Amino acid sequence: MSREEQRVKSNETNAQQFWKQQQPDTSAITAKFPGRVMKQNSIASTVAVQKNDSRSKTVEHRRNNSTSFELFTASCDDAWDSKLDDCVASDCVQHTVRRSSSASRCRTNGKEGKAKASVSLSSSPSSKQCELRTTSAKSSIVTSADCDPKLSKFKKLLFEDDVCDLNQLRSMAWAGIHAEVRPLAWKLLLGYLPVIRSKRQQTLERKRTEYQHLVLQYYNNRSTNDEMWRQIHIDIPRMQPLISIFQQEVVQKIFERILYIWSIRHPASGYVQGMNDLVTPFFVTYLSEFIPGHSLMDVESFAVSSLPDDTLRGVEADSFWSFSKLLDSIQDNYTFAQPGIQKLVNLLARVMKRADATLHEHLTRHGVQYLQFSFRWMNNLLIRELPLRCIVRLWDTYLAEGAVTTTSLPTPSSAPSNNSSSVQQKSSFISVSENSVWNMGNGTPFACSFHLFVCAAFLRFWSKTLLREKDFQGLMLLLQNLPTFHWGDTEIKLLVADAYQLKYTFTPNHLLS
Amino acid sequence: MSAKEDEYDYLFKVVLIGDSGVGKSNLLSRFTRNEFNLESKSTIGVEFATRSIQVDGKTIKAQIWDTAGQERYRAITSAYYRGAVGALLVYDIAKHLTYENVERWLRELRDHADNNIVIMLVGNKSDLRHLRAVPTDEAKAFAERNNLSFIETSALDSTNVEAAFQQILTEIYRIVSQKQIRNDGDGENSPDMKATLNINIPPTEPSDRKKPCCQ
Repeated sequence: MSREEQRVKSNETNAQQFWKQQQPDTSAITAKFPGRVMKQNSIASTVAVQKNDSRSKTVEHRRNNSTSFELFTASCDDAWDSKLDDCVASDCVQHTVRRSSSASRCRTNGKEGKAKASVSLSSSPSSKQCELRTTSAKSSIVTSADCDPKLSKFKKLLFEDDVCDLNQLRSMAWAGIHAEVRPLAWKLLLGYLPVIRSKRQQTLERKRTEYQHLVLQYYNNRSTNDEMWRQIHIDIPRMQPLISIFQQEVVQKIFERILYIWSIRHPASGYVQGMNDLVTPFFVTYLSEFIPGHSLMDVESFAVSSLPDDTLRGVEADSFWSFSKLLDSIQDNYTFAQPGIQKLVNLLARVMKRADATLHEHLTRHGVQYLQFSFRWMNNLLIRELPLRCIVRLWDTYLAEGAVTTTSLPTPSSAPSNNSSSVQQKSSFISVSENSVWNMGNGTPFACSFHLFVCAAFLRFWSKTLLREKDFQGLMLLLQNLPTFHWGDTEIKLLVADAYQLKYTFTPNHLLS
Repeated sequence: MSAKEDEYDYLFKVVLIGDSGVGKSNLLSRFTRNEFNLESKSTIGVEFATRSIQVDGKTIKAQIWDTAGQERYRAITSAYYRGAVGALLVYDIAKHLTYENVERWLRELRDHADNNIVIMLVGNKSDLRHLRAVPTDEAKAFAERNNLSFIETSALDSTNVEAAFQQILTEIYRIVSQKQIRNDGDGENSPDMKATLNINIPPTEPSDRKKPCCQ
């Protein structure tokens, strides 16, 4: 991978062209797939391509565009580098001046929905941050992470300040958190650990002990005939089959305990297939703290049993509590008939009707229902649709958004600076607080707003490709297997920028009409 | 998509149901893509795939919906039973519990599917001979009592997978073509019928290329 990465650095422009060149290809290949008997199986299935490196290379070769493909793949593989932030920095500065006017246009005029992504990107970080980033962009090439001002700022916030300013952390986290500081940043954003630095260790120890008690109380006394236990046991070995860490027995045991204990304590939903996926981002992130370089790529193949038991128990407990925080905010996705998901799917259709009417009509005309493809997007929070490294990056923004929605617009000036601790208590993963834009006036019965818009952005990202599909089966097969396996930080940045745009373009009134 | 792949004489919607982990998704991937994956991910909600086969010189396109096995998904997946003309009810021959639950799945179908849906009981994982927990004769007798067709398959070594789908699709085809003869002329469809995929019994969609002889 590093070889490819080096290559891409020399030719990023070419790599950026990849989509323009490849999108028609992808759709053509997928379109040929339906109905055929075992001919193009190797080409059409994303999974198949992912699974078999040599096979995927043949495919690329056939496309006669292997160089740009590899370059592109590599260019997306740097989710945890600071260099992309620096690239954005110049955009950021350019648009800072225009920001307020662009943002207000977006809000007042829904037709402005097509505004440039860079505008939305720049409208979230604070202007202070932009200045900082500019400095880093100008100051030659940043080679060491220690020289990176953004990382230094993260470190100061997290490790030096007596009380971490959560609003500042949020506004920085929105654009992505450095791998090195991500574990602690997530714990603070989730409200798992207190903002007061001196209290963190104590809290951590208390929560970890508490979890050990839960293990003794529930897991060690479980009945092996338990239906829930049986289901968890069936699902865990087939979780993320392409990532070796999840095939390790130690890891599977950890997941069994986390899921079983959560489920037994939440009988209204219990364990629902797909919940196992929701633990994975927390687990790999917290594990990365103990792996040299903190790279998620390394975590994915790390021999977990080489870590001391005590460390592993800590990672397990932290993953459990974080997973609990997440599920607390979206539990009605998993109760009987899954009302939360049904609501989200309906809202997605309404957003799309306005955000991309052509695509919406195309899907409707061919009989594709949103439930048929987006159910999984909601149930598994896109984890089945995107590579894990992308999900981790996406969740940086989700965690930042979860609380940002407590203010009407996440501009630095409007974010209250004096209530960080109280906000922290409310901070939930992707829920919308009572004060949010969404609940103002008409009290839309709705949570998960940002995820909804990410899904909408994700769908319209594929608009052109989908419009080329001319029938139901072509559309469904593509929607079930969107080719994102080479995605990286760049795509996620575009995705969240577009989602941000959509979020502030649509008010609940739009969607209720 | 080329016109050739788009051509078919009949379009049948079939659902795959049964307990979690019995191999529904692998049966489907074996039939539609000739692929098998030992650690395939659990199905969330429903997944779709398709393949065309020939019966009596007619092209039959099967639109197959693979459903999640877990109880919690029942509310979502049962919506897909509507309009299905066939159901493969799958159990694992090495796990008796999955066979015991077949009755529950039959009730599900009675409650949510069309009355005349063709059901085939499928004992999957027949390669696990040494672990067999459900005797073939027992399952066969059960199927006969309940008017179901029956077959044992192995998605892993491909045994009978092709045969299972071929058999159920042929059975549906026979019923439908009989019906068509009786209701001669009833099957008039609007030209855009194919696009809307409205497939209730009689689920025939005469294509522009070849019309069934009775039309």
